Amino acid sequence: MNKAGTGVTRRGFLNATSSTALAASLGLSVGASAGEPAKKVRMGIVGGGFGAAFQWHLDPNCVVEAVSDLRPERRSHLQRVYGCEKAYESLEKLVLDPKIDAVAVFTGAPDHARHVVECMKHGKHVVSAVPACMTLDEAAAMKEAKEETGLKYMMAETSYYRAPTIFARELWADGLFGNFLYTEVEYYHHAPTDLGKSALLWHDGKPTWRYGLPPMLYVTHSTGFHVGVTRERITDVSCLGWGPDHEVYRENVYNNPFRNMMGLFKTTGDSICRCNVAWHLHNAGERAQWIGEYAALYMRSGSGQPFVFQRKGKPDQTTLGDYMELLPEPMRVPTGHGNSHPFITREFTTALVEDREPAVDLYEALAMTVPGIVANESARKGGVQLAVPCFDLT
Amino acid sequence: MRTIRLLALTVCLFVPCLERLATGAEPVADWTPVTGKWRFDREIVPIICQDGETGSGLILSSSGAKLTRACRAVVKVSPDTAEAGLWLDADPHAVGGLQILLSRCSNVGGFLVRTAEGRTLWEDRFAPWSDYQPYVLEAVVEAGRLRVQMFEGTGEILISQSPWIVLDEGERVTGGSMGLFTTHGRARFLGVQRDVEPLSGLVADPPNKRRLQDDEESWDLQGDGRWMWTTAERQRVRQYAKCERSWAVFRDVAGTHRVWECRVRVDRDTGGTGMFFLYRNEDDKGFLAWLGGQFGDGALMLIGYTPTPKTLWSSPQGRWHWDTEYVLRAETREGQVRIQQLAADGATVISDSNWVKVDSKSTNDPGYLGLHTWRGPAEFWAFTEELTGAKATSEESTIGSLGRAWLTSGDGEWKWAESEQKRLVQVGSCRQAAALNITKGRAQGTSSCFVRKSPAAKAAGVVFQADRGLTTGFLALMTDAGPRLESLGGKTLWQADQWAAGATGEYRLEGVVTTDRVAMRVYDGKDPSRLLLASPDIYVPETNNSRVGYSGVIARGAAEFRRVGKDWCLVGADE
Repeated sequence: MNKAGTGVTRRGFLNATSSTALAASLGLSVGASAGEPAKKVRMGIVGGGFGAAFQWHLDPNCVVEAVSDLRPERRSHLQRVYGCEKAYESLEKLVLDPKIDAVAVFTGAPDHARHVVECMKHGKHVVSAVPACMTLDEAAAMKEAKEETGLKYMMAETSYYRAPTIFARELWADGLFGNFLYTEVEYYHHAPTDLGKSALLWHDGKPTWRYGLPPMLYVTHSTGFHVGVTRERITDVSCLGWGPDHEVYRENVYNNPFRNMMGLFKTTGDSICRCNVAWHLHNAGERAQWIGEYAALYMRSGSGQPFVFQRKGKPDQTTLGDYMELLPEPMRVPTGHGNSHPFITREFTTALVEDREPAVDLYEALAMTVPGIVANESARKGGVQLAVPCFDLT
Repeated sequence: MRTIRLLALTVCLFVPCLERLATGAEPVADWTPVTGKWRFDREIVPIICQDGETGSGLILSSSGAKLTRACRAVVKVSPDTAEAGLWLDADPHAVGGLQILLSRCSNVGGFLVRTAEGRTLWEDRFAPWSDYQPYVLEAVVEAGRLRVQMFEGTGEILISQSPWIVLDEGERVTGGSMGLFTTHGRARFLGVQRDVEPLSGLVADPPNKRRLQDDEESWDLQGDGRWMWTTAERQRVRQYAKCERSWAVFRDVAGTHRVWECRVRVDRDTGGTGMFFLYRNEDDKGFLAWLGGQFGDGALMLIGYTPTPKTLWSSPQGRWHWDTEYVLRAETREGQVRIQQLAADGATVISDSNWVKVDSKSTNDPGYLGLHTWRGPAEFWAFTEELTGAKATSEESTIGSLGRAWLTSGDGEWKWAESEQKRLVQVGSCRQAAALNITKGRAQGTSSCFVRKSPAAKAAGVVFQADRGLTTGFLALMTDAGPRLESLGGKTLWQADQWAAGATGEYRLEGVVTTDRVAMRVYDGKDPSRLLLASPDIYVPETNNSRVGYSGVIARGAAEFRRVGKDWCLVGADE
């Protein structure tokens, strides 16, 4: 399905009998010709927690122009990591810097939409951490900002660039799965030993944004495995929430009573996605298995399930490359989240240099995020099936 | 066929992974599809995809035509696709030029260069590649010659390299037109470039020269493993693939009652590794000293193959570990085998089966040493006669001057009468000299050879169904008294009563093994189809029916032998 949901594939087939001509725009192309200097994207990095875990400083087409965090110690950390002298006390000050082309927003999840819109108002392209937003109104505001400004937005969804997901995209494109996929996707956290004192939930004596966070508002690590492979759109969701009683879930800013959420999602491609997000299980990490008509792909799991790709009548494939050959040599570094960080970094910078939309643009980002917002509502209504609005380009 | 001119001057196929190229690397653009279903996709970098599942797919570009010395691309082949690669100097009608491609020549892959008409100019049949994995294919073009090379996806690790291939007038390419092509299936291409310098110059010992598959005289490989000498010194053999069972039988180490030994190191996550001994590939019988059991913390096990595998003995678990060097040692004698696992010092015994009783039949026939892996790589060394010092018994044959396809024994001297190795000569007098061709072993069938003994020689003829030690088997001889059929144990099975034709001149002799019987036949050397004399069938024990042996020639004095078929397997005309 294309963004408009008309059923026309986004791909353009070129063959000897077609009269279709493909024209691609190109700004200053990376390495387009010998002798020309490579264009550098000048980045501002906001958020010294997860924001310090990327490879902007290793990307040959990127310079870290400035960093920012509300906390001084995190600002310093960003400066050390990225070798950047310039630092701002806040995102609101950073976006005023005319030298900055784009901003990496790695602030708290409830601030993402507001910060993305703020950056775009000041003419900056944006890459943000997940989730893109936490309400349908925020989704609409981001869509409006993007379409009014024409600026680029990318969501840094790590599941999209794990090696098994890249491989799944190749298999899906080659038709090896068949006409549909049943996926089982999940994002789990181990239950903290003492939930009430967890550093994730408390800072300086105050609850953080994670305190009581509904799991389905943080769904993209799971949905990224399905939407990121098929480019389908989730149309309907049914979700149940549950979890042991605890004061964190009796009273929080989200009015959320649930620690764990399990959903069944239906897609435009007649696929079904069993989607789990849980903060309180004896399990951890992001994982998926893709089961089609004719083939199945399983990520390795903590239980001992090895990676395996299976097709009827063919030997199992039990090894997988790391796709590092797609990256410049300095960026081939191991990272968390299945080594996905340098791929996210590189995709964003080359998208700007080549003046094209990144792979996980705003529409893909909302296609991954919005189902979780609706699933949360479904869980609060006892699992009733609800329709998911589409924010694709119209 | 209509062609579509793309307006995408801006399609730039930049591949950051090849940034280490010398200045002058140019991405190739301006693609024109000729056949197939082509689309442009992206996964960080632009990718050209051919999606047609049948027939051929070809897309061409002439951009950068001035820069033609090195042409390269990263190729990723989808499952079931027959082949994919580069096509230099193809024209819009998909004719002419040279193709550099990944093909499914063997069970592990294949890399070759051929004309568009299909004539193979060079190939590496065992260049390993897997579906969906990226490989850089590169062609280096100079006036009148070309060479090709294949790397892993980053362009840093050489997999295969051809020498310079001199091109005939009609085969020469300029590299002016560069194409990507597929046959019967999908593939992906990225990083298509031209450059002044190739990724690698010619190396003295490319990996393709170290693969064991190419040494069919010494090695017999089974399974999907990738077996290679690790260096040009050829001291250590490594199985590189993460595949199920794979084994490499080494015919240069053979025998019956002897010591067998190798050193081994098991890679992390590999399921198991071992040493076959007294093993015969032909009937899958023998024994295995196996490091198996619990992954990375397992046991030494003795497994007998009849050919059904059966565990005959096992140590406790926890005796072997990954990334640790061990010595595997086995001993065989009549009706008994023994295996040991020693530490790297070669003296500290970790596990010892002590002597295990087995069926004496299983220890009486000679076999070979073999190397075996399961679910992962391992490395082996110190398994050859020279390196272990574990010599064969003096009665056993040795590889002589005729090359690795032959075992010679006795007090003779063997030479090739000419460079094409069609005639073999035993020079001078000798008590008895034999030359056994060990290329192909078999139980039943006909072995045949032209024989001319010198007047002074007492006998000359064909040896057939013989073991490598020449202790068991048969002889079809021309003697002073005429044709004679003997066993290698020295027993005369049949002697021609009246031989009016005399014993001089050239004859074609045949040794024949059928069910429960052996025989010999004598044909006119000048008219090889004219039968002069045939022995009656001589009955032999039924155990002979499945006993695998080899064929060769034997002389008791100076004699000359001429092969019947295209090689010296001594396979008869009825094969």
